[in-house]
Amino acid sequence: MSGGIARGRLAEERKSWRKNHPHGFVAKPETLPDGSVNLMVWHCTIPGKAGTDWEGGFFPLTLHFSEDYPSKPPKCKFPQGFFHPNVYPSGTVCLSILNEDNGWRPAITVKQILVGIQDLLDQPNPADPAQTEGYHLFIQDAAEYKRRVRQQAKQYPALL
Amino acid sequence: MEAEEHEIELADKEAFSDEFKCCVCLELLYKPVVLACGHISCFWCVYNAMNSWHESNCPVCRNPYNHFPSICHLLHFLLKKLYPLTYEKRERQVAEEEKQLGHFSPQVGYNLFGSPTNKEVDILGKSLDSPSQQQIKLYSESRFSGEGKSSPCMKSLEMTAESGDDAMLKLVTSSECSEATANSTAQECGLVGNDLEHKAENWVSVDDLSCAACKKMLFKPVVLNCGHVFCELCLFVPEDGNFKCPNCQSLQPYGLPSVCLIIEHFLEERFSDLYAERKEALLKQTSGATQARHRKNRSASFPKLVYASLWLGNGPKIHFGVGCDYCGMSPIIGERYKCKDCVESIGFDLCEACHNNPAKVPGRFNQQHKPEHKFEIMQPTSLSDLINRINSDMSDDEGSDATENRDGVARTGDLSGDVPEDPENDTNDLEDASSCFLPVDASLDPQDDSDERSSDFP
Repeated sequence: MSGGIARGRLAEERKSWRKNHPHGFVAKPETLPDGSVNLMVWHCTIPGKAGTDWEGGFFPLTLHFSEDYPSKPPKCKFPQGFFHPNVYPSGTVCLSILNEDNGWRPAITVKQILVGIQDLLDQPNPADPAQTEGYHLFIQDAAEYKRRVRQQAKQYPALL
Repeated sequence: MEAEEHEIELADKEAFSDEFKCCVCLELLYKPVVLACGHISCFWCVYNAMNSWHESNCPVCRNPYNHFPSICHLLHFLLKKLYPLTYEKRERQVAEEEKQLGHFSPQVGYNLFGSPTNKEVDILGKSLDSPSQQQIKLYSESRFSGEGKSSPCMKSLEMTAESGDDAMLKLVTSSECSEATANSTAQECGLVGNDLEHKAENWVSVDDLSCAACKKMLFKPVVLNCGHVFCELCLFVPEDGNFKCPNCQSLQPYGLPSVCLIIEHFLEERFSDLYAERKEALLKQTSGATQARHRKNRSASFPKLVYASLWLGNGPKIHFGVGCDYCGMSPIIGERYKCKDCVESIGFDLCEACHNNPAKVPGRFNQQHKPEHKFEIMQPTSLSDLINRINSDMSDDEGSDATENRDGVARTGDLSGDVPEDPENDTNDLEDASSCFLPVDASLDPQDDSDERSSDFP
């Protein structure tokens, strides 16, 4: 058994997020039907960066933490079918800092993950494609790609 | 019970500097371990983030390392002094976790409810008769004599909070009787002031932060694998790479570690004048001398390739999931010596070098190993056993992602014909390689089988 550090760390993450977090972002642990809080799943919102085609969109992202967190990164998922070159058809985000063998470090905080994914939205990494459609439009048809991105941003308006 | 709650409350008020927050658990560092890159984390946090299959990476900067360093005693005592309430809270918390786990971290220095032992004096590199040592002793005795639950010191703290100056005065006079130097008394009484954190910090003296070699205040502190702290300039790495700690003579696997910036910042802040003085003096001394010091490229001490010998069948033996209890090498490369007489479930193992040069340090997990214990040479787990183990605890969700990964790449490849491959993304390669050996569809997942591993690293 790992020391069961995951929950303790997530509780601290939550504290520090409440103290201060980047503007427009949302991150909170899931509330179960019985009213209890499940720290292992967080529902987040990532705002599209101002001045990019992603602006105006508030993209829902779910973080799934394992008992091995923070030795292992959380799995980050957009809704299924999310349009982005580095998002798998299932919605899982493909990003070096979220890869255990590549860029993940236990020191990376939830805040850094969310900001990292916000950056990824407008700066896809064509070297590491995860879905066919987004990747192809991105390298072959810039105009159509832009249109799709803007359309998707409209699909996810701010939640009131 | 109420008193305990009150203590926790007090501990919450005792805000600690972010510098001393462990980057893994985000709490106050407890039993701090300093890696060769100079980054600090708690004993268990480093341990849990380690990889039992190949080299591990620093949780902060991913600098590779093969040896689990020992606890840095100097930092341990510093934190204990700076944030006594929070540190004690952490101590209780970790002790509880350890009890559940059945594995224990090493005891540091004096057992917490007694007086200092000779060993601890060695560790601190100080003599017993220095005033600060007495101070520590005095403090620890008054503080921990009551089984730690509701110590007298804590009570007097509470009292001060309520009744103000009178109680404080009493404490001052009582300590004045037993203390020789008026100066340190003034410092000590600062502890019970209103602003807990600030005053407690006053109590830390230069003696708590001195170099184990030159005995002066640390300048550009580096922490060795054995946990001892020196000024960078006090250490000399011989050409032949046989670099030993001047204090405990243990072999250092990485050459000279990086300066521990967190300790350095603390020194600069707390003792700014003294630190500047030290700097100036040393600059004069070393002017003209080569500043290019013996820092080798501080990479892992074994090349990545070594770990591949499992698959290739050549190279040294690798004992996956087993670490050396003296130098901390994990996994052990070369011969593995297992103690036949240690009864702890975590076992007690040594690498060849440490077996031949037994150190005087206790086991990494507080095993009660004795010099008269007998060792036996163990063979590494065979490849087929490893594969069985991997197969048996392969989790399904891991598998699905790996498939997904390969699918995505393959599909885009079919369509465009020239999907660029990420040279840095070696996960695909790894998966491909492992699928040659393993009939399963997932990458090697070292942490997953932690329950099953019988040996040192649970």
